[in-house]
Amino acid sequence: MIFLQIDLYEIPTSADEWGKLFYSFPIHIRILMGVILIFCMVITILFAVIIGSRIFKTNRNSTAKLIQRKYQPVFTQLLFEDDSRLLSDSFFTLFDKKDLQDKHRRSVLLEELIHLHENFTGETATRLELIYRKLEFHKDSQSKLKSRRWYLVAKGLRELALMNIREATEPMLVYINSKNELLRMEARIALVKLNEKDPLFFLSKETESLTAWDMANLHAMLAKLPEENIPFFSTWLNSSNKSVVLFCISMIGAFKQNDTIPVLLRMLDLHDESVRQAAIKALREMNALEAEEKLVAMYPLETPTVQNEILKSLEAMSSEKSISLFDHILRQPVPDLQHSLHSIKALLLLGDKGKAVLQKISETKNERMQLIISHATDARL
Amino acid sequence: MGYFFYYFTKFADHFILVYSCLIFATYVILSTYSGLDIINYIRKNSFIDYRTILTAPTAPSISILAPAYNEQATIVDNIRSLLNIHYVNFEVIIINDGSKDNTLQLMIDAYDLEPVPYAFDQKIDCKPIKTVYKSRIPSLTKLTVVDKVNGGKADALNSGINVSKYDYFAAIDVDCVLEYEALLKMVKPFMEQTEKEKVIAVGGVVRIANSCKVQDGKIIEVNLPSDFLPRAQVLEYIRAFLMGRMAWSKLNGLILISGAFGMFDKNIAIQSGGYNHKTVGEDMELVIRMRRLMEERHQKYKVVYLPDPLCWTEAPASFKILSRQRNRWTRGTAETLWFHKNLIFNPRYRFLGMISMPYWLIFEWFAPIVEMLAFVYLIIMAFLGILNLELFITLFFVIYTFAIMYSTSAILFEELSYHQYKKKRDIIRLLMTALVEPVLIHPLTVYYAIRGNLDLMTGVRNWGDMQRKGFAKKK
Repeated sequence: MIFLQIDLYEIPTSADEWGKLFYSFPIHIRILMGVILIFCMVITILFAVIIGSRIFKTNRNSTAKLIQRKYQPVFTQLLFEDDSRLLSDSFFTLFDKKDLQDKHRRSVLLEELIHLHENFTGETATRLELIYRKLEFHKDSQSKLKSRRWYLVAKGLRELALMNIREATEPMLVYINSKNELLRMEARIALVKLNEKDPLFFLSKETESLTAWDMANLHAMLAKLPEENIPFFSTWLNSSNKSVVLFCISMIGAFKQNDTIPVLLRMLDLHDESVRQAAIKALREMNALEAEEKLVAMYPLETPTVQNEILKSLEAMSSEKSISLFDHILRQPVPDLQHSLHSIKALLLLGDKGKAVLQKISETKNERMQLIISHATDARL
Repeated sequence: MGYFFYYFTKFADHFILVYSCLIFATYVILSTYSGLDIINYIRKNSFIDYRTILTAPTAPSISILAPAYNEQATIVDNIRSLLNIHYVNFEVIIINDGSKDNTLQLMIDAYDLEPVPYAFDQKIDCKPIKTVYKSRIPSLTKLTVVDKVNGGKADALNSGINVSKYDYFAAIDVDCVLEYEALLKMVKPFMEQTEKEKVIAVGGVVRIANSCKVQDGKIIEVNLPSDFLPRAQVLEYIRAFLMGRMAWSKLNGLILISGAFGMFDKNIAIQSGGYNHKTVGEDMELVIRMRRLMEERHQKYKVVYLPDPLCWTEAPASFKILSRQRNRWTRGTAETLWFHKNLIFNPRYRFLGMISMPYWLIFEWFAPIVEMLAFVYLIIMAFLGILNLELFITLFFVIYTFAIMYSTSAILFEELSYHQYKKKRDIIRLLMTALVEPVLIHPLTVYYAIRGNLDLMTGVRNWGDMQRKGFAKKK
């Protein structure tokens, strides 16, 4: 690879001369030149794609705005005026065949319908659903469910749910256990939306774990339902899917299904720490005073995480039955900070009796405990 | 002697060529992986409503830790910006790390702070905390200010961890501007973790805020930096964040989350020992140590990287400040690799030991050294009159055109993903910057990296003075 002379070349003036010059170089130099040429071509293509994508996006946006402007008066007429046009055969004359047949324009129209539906409820939403069906957009959405591309399936699920296509429930079920977590979530959300009377019917079919994110989305959907449609979450407390059990316990607390308190009390005896912890939290949210004695009895045998949950609950329930436990915690040689804070706050809520206990403890001249008491009693903290 | 010289030059030529090809190949592989993952992520994101987290009973509470040292120019505004973050249950802990200016007094005056008796467990060793402050104003209960003896950024973060209440903490540079939904986006991976696979840390893209319009602690208009130096860094950041780290995250081999903004599982961070104050690369060192802990426990885990621009920071606008920054980055990388040298090529640590750590050693830390040695070699060959000019020129153009191609790909990634630079002229300027950056800025960064290694060998340990202009209130 090393040469002992440096050659200078004259600039060729014809294609032949360029060719001769090129072939005069050693093979490895020619390869490198080829690589440079490839890189330059790629750079040119990338430049073109960057500029082209901008132009493409601008054109797409212009078309979308055009469609929106064109059909805004149409939608206004159909949604807010007399519904005779909507129900008659002349409905189809309001829409340009070209717009309904062109893939991009059709999808823009569909997006516009979806966007309007997200902003309206009641009769207006119902009319939108009718427009959606009459223009056969439900077929477009249903065909998306069969796509191999997950994002199209997800889009189809969302559209069908939003537009209340209840007959799509069955084909949606297969996605609740998809390997794709987004499809699972979209399927669940869609099924809740489409089955308002029995929104969580699919929970017994769940084989995949529900994450905290899944639970948050399900909770958000359930919160939109009328109170009479909220299911009894105790139905699934015996599920073999632990995440379903945890979800249901959490929902019992969130929706304050007080009838389930005895069931939750029994769950405090279960082996699984996370189930016990969730049950304690739910009992706290329902202010289940009947749980207090059991929680006090459980405390010494529990893990630190569950102990912390117990103390939070006892702080909320706060009765004199727990005073001896708080006293015991605060008299430990090395008191746990979080446990101590909860105990002190609970004692403060118990009026004179609680304050008397605190007074005795503060007289023990334990500097750390003095600081913890000051911290717990400071309104700014 | 002649034979030795001949074989030495043969070896050198081949080494430079093979090393260059390997770097090119890794960049192409990583950027391909990143590109596919970004497309997937953006598609997923279009279905996500992050506001769900605001009302979710399962949403975790977060402690935001922001160390401050001599930040009097901007501290009041920065805190205001942090307090207005779009999230429900969080606390903001500002750690005044022994500032010599008026940082503390300005905070006390602006937020009506007073000392409070604050009990905490010293889970990680740190320099003494002098006073903890809370505000008298009821609406500012989220704010806690910790005044401590100076100990450096790592030490300040450790004291913040000790004082924090919640199970997750976000470490942030106090002068960074966060995107509106930054915390919501960072929290989501933690909410998606399962019992089988724990998320221990989440990082996001840091973008350059020079020339952007900032108002009330928010970016209201994104502009490409008008100065060449920060503009060149925009390219670097896009290459590194969008085309590099995404791939590493996808492969679960990411060992660096930017110190400007990252979120961590507090328990795992504490069990790992907290931030290491013996290195200036404390951000990378913590992630490696957390990963190491999980590997040694044989627990499945993830370090997640989000391609969303979550945080905006000021890039160095002068060569002097840039040199300090790159010097520090090099020292941090070298120190961290040295601390964890027994992980490198250690099969016990699986992907971390066999791929991630070796990659950083060979292609991140060692690359500037190879470039410098190659340059010296070329000079020597030219001096001896045995430089193969044809080979040199063609190799130079191969590297140059590859660099432009890689930068142009980065611009395309940015264009197709987040499309932050909407003005046509910004894209044209970015493309023009890509043409000159490899010959103007890159050699400087190599030089700064070499200086960093030399400084490390001569015992330099400090951060250097990173002067920032601050985000002036621009209308």
